[in-house]
Amino acid sequence: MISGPPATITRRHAIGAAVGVGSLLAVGACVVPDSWPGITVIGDNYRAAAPADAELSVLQSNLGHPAPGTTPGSLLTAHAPAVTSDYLAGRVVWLSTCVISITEARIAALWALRPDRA
Amino acid sequence: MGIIIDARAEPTGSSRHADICVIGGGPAGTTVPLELARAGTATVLLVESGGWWPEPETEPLNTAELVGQPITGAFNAPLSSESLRVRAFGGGTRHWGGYCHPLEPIDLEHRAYLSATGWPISHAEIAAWYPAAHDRLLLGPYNYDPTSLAGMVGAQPPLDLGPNLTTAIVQRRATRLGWEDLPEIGAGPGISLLYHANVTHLQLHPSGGHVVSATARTTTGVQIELTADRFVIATGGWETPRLLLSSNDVRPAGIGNDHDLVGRYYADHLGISLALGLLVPAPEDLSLYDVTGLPLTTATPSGTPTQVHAFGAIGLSETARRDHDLPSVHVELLLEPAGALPEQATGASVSGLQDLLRASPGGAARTIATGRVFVEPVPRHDSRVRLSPSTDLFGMPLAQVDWRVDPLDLAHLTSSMEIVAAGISAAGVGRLQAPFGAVGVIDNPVSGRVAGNVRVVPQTNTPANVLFETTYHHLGTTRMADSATDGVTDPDGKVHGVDNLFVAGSSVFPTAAGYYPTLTIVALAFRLAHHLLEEST
Repeated sequence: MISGPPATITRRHAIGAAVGVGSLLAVGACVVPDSWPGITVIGDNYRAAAPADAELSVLQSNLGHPAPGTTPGSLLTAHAPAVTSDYLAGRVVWLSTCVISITEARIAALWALRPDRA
Repeated sequence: MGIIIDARAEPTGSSRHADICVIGGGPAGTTVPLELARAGTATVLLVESGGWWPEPETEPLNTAELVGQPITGAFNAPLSSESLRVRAFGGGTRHWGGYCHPLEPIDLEHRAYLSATGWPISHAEIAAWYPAAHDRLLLGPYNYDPTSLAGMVGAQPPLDLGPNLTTAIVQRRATRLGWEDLPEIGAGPGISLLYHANVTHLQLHPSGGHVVSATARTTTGVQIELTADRFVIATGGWETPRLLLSSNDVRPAGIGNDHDLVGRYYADHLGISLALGLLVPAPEDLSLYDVTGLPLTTATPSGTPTQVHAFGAIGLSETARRDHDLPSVHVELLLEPAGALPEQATGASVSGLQDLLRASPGGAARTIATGRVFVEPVPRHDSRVRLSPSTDLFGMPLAQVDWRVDPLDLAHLTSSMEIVAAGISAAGVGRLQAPFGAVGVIDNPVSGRVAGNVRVVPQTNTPANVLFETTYHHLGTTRMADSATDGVTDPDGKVHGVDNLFVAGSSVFPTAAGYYPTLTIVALAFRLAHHLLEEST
């Protein structure tokens, strides 16, 4: 299983992380750099395509009320059987040019709604 | 001994006679006379417009007027009407890629969810001739079993893609018919080849039910009268209706056109370039699925040594087609070299799916593939070939091609891609991203080889604004049907209402059906040849 941040930390990521830590120390809140920008884009697309299903409370309910801050990797692992079931049943959504399962789309939408998003 | 005659050297006003006159030297038109000659019971005159190679004098005769859906090639590049066909002995096989796959039984059925479908012959009646067609096209054994073929080419077994998808084996060998037939024509008894001869008119008996003669003309001004007991037109989906419609001196609507069906139901398989077919995290050997194909040194069904290339396309299963009311749809893939950067290869952003895969169990994408989708079109009565007011150098009206694409075609494409995405994802193979029309496989129609190059076009199309590409398959226009009210030709290819005129080739297809037509064209030509032989006895 591969999850978590990318293996290659770019200069931009490093700067972003440093700024985030600095902000946290300074004001007690931060904007965390996005480790999964592509998933955020998919999530935004799903929110636009299915706003009712992509309400925060609905997403949390459909995804088993994950703890705040749960990463997409953890959610995709936890919901792997549901993702497979979606594909077997043809429960897919076409977001821009990507064809993905409804569960993947919901996980992406939840990630796009994280409170510390820049 | 066969006779090979350059019509330009014949005296003008001369005549030729044979038991059977076949017009057009493409895959169907060369197969019928050779099979008849092998039986040795009839004399055959084969009449070809071109020479051995495409020539500047004859290629302009391919000009047609295109008035419907734009006909574009890969990457939606505009194409001229002259570039869509080859006017040389061998016809379409002089520029084809050699892709072959037989029709499936469901292709011939009347499918209630698709209008005007259903062939008047059974699948078994065609399948009986597929082995002979394999021999003729120098293909390998008549074997399309995916597991068996994967083993023969040394690839891993086909993927288990679930109930909705199937691995469809394609055998590929760009055999150049006509050109390769010359030795047999020269040596065979009872067959004459008249080339550089353009048939511009069929003369009906005043009764309207019998062809008396055909007029052949050369670009140098020679005119020859051709007489025969029976005539076979094998000039493809554009020229066949053109000849029937323009031969209108006895029947004003044209030959076989009492019900206004000649030229109608024109179809072409709908091609779509997929910028990015798959992001594949699975480590399996997927070489079977590369459209370039794996070489197979083998033998034809009758034992002639040959070499073909074989690959697996991903197609909708019969189950999926029935359950979802879909036509035949398949995807050909081109696997990118290891380490290829998707954005560079496709011109499209794939960061979303890359991130999704990277975060998913199974890991990041290792391989990407681009590809092309083929969609069987919905038959349309108003998609047609008719006569243009413009004429060629012989004064013959040009073909006016009014190609229509049905709104349902787009829905079929979208639904099919969702099924493909679901199938490959459930199988753990990867994910599908489909920015249509951004890139495609360069398929060199002249060499018949897939170059394996990918061209990047910055603009990507979503399904909502996709523009289908031609596959160079000119189908329909003299469709087979039991009744004259439903088709131009009967189940044997005979023109309804004319007792000695037959049509061979792609124009008799009632529907485009699936995959590639040439194997079936040749099989039907064998079937027609044997029908003609039976009629003679």
